Amino acid sequence: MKNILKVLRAERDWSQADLAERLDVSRQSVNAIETGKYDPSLPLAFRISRLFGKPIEEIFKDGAA
Amino acid sequence: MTTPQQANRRYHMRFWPPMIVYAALCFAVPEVIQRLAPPTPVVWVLAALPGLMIGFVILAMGRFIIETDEFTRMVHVRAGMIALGLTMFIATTWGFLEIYAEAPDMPLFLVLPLYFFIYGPATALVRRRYG
Repeated sequence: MKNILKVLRAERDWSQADLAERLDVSRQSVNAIETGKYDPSLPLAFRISRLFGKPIEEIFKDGAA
Repeated sequence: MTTPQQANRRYHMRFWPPMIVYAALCFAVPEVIQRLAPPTPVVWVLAALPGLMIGFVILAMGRFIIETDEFTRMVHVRAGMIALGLTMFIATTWGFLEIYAEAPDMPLFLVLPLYFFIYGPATALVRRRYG
């Protein structure tokens, strides 16, 4: 699943480690999500959505959409 | 909520004490048992002690998988399944080789080291695939 996490992170000048700390996950998790290799669970997607103040569908793009 | 860092710390705190005791028991138990032969209930208890420590190590790994973040959990569950599958495959195949081809006996206590031996590279492999 594609996403704009890297862009949102860059806008705030956060490193992957900064974002990982804010989400209570490992840096490797952030990297795997950013590169589209791992799709987060719904609770984690909601945490990401709340952190950036954007709806989930604006951050994550379903390939079928 | 437990952070991955806290989960890591707790894992090491739970993993290393029983692992160190296990290593010590591997040397100490045969020394003690030698003096207690023939086998008595005490010998049975002493002989089971290293295995009990490994039980704590396995519990530590289980707690880590529960407490860490979801991506790390996925990596370790997949690596664990790879290691489990290969370990069972090797142990079963070797068992048949022992029965039918006179292969040397493989002591059962080596099954867990075999699992760990596969688990390490499997974790690296799964991590590389995802990240």
